[in-house]
Amino acid sequence: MIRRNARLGAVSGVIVAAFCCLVWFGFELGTERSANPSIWIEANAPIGATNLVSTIYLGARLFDTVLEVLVFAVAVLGVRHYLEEKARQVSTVETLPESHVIRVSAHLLLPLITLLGIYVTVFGHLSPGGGFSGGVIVASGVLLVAIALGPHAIGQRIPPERLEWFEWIALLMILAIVLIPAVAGDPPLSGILPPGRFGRLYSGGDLLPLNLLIGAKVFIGSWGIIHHFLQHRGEI
Amino acid sequence: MSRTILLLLLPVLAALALSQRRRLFAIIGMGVFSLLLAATYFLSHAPDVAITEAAIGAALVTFIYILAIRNTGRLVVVASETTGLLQRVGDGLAGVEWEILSALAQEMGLDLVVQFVPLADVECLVRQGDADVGAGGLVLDTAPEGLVCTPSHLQTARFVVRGPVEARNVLEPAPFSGHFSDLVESVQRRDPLSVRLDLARFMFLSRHGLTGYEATREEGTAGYTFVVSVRRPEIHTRLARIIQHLRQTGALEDSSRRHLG
Repeated sequence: MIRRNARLGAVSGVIVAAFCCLVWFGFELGTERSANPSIWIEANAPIGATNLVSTIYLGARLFDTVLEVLVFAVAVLGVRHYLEEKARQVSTVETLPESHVIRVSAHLLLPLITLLGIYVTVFGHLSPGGGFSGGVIVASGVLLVAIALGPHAIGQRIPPERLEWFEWIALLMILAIVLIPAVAGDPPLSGILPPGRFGRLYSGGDLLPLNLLIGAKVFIGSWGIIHHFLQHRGEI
Repeated sequence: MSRTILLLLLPVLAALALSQRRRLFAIIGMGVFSLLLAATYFLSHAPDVAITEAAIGAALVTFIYILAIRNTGRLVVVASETTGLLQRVGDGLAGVEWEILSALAQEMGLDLVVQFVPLADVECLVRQGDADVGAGGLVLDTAPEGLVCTPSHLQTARFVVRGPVEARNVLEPAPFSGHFSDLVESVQRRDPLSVRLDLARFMFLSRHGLTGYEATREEGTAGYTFVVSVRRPEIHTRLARIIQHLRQTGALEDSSRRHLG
């Protein structure tokens, strides 16, 4: 038994050490970056956005992003479909609320977290961030309140059922933004809005509306999934 | 330099998070790991990935795990609130039964969660498996179907409270079954009443003035017990052992003196 444990320990030690080395080499030796910012500006200038990452995943790689959003939408749909079959569970048991500190701090933090999420979404094409991270930040703020006040209380205040229709409208609008140039006879990925002035809030063409729509979709989808689990299974 | 320190800390934190016995600590460890990973990404000039890692790894996933472990790793107790035995004090709980149940939860390595329900619902919830232990001034002669009673941890007596004067002898005395706060309110309103109570509840009620009501003590003594489902014999065994241990060390007597006077 002891010998087996020692062998297991040795094997896991080797794996952990190998992983550490891999991460180490990856970070320390494998990064040869260009420190010349003019490359960024040149690459982004045509579309007008200062965030190169956003320019790639909502520009040249827009179809990848749209398919990711579709995969997320299918996941949300699947969760809803299979949980609708289960009867709603209404807990009759009165739960003792969490401590006063958590309740008060959750109330104080929710507006700040929501504001940060909206900022990250709106400025996604200018600074780090974007629709995915912004939507997740707002959803985590709502989850914090769900932990502090109980999921049912926050479910009544922000009912995902009322937001679901907007989720599908957002998805249709994203698809429309992608497909309209193709229908109109323009080359694919040419966008429908003008690029705007470099570095301004209104710049980057379709990046701002795409980020907003993706942010709304991710927030409603993730909060909806969690709320459905809580409502139909009584737990996550 | 700072990135090197972060990279060295990451496997240490991962090992710490994996080796925690309590789930909540493991989840917090994972959250801190994600936060450091986000800092590493940031220092590696990948702020977009850092923001996403911080939002998903440190915030969303941590909150989802915290909500998910709510119904695991917990010892769920349903009880009717009883002054001296199991009662709210500020944001926390106190009482003789609270101390016994805390000892049980500590021994089993679980978080103790108490849900207050009307007395009549306690047996049903334990039988259905919605709760692990039923508590809160239970006085039972025989164990109800599907449940086991633990050896009694405190002696009590039964009292019958009837009144006020004009309504006396009208109603048959029924065992108390609802929320205790409702009973206190109806006594304050001088509602007609005929109810059978245990010692702790009777003491609290008499302190609030039972003038106009007639109180009689029934013959014989009884004991407070906990109820556990027959399917959970391990909880019953542990609870019985803890009660015996607390009685032998005198802690039970000391606790009842502090909470019940």
